[in-house]
Amino acid sequence: MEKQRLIQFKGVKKKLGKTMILDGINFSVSAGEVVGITGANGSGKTTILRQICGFLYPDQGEVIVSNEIVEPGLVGKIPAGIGALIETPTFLPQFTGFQNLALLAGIQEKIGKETIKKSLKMVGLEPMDKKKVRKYSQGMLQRLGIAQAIMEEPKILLLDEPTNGLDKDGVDLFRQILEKQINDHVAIILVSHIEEEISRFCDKVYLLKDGKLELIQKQKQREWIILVRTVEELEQLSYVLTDFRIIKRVGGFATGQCKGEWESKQELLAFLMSYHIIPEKIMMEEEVVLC
Amino acid sequence: MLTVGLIQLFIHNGWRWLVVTGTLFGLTFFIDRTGVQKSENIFEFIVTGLTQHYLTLIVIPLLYFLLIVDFIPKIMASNVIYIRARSKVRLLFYFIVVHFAAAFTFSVLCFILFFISGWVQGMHVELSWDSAQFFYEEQNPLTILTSLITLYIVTLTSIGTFTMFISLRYFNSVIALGFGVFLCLLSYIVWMIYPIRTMFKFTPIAQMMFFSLYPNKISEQVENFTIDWSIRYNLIVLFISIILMFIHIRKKQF
Repeated sequence: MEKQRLIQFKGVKKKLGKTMILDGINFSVSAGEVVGITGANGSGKTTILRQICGFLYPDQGEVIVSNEIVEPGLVGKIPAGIGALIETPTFLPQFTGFQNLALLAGIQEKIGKETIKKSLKMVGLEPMDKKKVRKYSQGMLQRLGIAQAIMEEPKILLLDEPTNGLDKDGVDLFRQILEKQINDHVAIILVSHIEEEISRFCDKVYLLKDGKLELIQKQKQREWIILVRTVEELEQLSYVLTDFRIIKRVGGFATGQCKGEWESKQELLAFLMSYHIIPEKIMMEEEVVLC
Repeated sequence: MLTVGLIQLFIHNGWRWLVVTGTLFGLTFFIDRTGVQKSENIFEFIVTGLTQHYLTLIVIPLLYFLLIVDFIPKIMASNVIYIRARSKVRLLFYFIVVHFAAAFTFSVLCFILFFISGWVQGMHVELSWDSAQFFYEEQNPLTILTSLITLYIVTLTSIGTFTMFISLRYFNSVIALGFGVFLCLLSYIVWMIYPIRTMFKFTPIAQMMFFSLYPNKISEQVENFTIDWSIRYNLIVLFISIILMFIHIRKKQF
């Protein structure tokens, strides 16, 4: 069954000043789909997110969010059901993280204190922490920003540079959050100027360049961990696999990591066996606990 | 409620409130009271202070503009608040509510600062006063003060709303503040140039000048300039400002 398309860009053109930032953009994001947009700084990635939120309107074409065209209308309607972390979120520095989220939650009055606490725990922040936001580190601010984006169970999630400032634990938590959102059929757009930071989470990745959108990844790239017995086999793998890198030994075995669009371990194993490489074990990145 | 969040955001610039309060409080000690018999009654002091031309036409409005000029750009640029509003017009409604609350609070603050200053300077707190030094007829001090504060609230609300429209239109608090400076200077200059003083009642900040529109012995009342005129003027300005903001905010892009 075809999933509902929650975000659609149809022939969107947008000029900012004298520059044609978006020049005929066409793409869509369905419920439960994660789409990544990458490109150089100033290429227009954030402009796309701002158009979805109703901060900007296209000069030509249509932006459709949840089956409604984003346009001023009579009252300047703002698309509903969107959770977003775009650029630096403005929090009140004299309040704690919980107090900030409580104030924001009070605007729509959709959720209660327990849901706010749950969202903070999901991003690895302590709900009862008395520390004021002005004393938060970059990583903590980023986590708080993600928490405010997800706490009201949006149908659409827009995250700009989502892993900025996050440590490894933070990135792991972020992966778990994304998995939950996908299971909840949320349409997700991740934006980053570093493709590698988002490609592993995305079903599709687009490159935005010179106002045009180009599909550069058609399927989700998973991270694979391959264990082999000898260093020579590791060397063979580095010739056969792109993005292959050697990592710390796992269980005493020489270990390497790579990205790829294989759907299952069997598929990857079949690929490696075609090169006469028989690994000791294949795992997905999430399965590994590196000591 | 969105209002609570907006109020919190509005007042969180603690340093700005300190500067405004400190400046105003400091100036209360330099009120020119030589025009009347030196008042020992705190209400006489308050009335004298809140009707001084340079304070009423320049200092007080400018201090108020300093508090409000960046409110709308800040909120609109705050993705986390904006994205939760259902529409821009709804957001506009809350802006106006918060702005009115700010005008009310600021006007009452002016009154309180003068009260504290008078008390610190050893003046008596008495509800009876020698109104004959100000007015041709006997006047209750509370009635006069209520009229004065009401003019402050209504004028700051209307002129402040138009200034907020400027900040929305240009999305720039410096331009909005510059506009506020222009309004203040316009009223003051028109007052100072005697031949054009009859035009004073048409200038925005003049509407706060209680002694220009209420019969008194202290200052020259401008012809046909009354409290009724002032309230109607302010309501028209407020109405125009709201219409302009409504037209503009719907299509605002940022």
